[in-house]
Amino acid sequence: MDLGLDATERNGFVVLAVRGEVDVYTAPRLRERLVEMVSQGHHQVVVDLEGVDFLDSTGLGVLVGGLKRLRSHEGDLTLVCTQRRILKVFEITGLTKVFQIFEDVDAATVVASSE
Amino acid sequence: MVGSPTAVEHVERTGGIQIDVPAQPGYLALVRMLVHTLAQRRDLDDERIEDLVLAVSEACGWVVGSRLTTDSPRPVQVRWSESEDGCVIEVTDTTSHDGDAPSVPAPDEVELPPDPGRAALEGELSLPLVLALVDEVTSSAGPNGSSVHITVNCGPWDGQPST
Repeated sequence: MDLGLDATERNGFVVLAVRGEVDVYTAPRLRERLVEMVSQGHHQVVVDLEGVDFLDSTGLGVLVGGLKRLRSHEGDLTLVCTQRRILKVFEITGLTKVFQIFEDVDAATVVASSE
Repeated sequence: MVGSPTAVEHVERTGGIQIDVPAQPGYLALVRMLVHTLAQRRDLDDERIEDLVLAVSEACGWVVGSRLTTDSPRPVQVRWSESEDGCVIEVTDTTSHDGDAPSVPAPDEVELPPDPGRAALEGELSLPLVLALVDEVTSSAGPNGSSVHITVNCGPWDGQPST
């Protein structure tokens, strides 16, 4: 099982495209990457979940941890996701109230840059 | 393991399948793949299959998570059983003993945490997630360990894999 983590910059934001399965095995790598971004001074992060096939509660915890860490640096973490199976996990757990979730990276970066 | 039914015995008795996997996070993907394949044999739509796969993976994660601090070599048992109107997946922690059944409250007793962000950080979203995804979740304890039973209702099964 592989987890792809590809970071690019757009409009001053870091877009982290996640591919594969995010579970108790792979989530630590996502956490490390988010921590690394913060330590490098990237405080506006968009996590693109369009390539994610599976996301469990451990992955949710990592994303919330990243959000908390970024907000402590006056930053933010937003999500891009249109996949029903992944959105459902956020809806069931009430995390749609915690994260801003956009339909594509363009929308996420435009809204983010206008705030 | 003394007293533990073998995979062959389990299949002969129930028509189901049993696998033992190391209690390590890296093996959860294997369990998910198996559950996905078996679920496709029944008349479950794609969303129900994905729900079941996530629920079983979370339940296995409960066992694996409890082992990370004990370094136990004993496996996690995953059994798939079929009935005419449903599938039951049993996840067993083989290190636990009689009377150690995991506590699984009834779905109507589980409320979504008022602060889901904090709950996510503290690993408290798994149970409400599982209860929302499948039709029934119960637990039991026996000589082979403590188990979580996950049930999904589905159409009649003719005993043959669907094509």
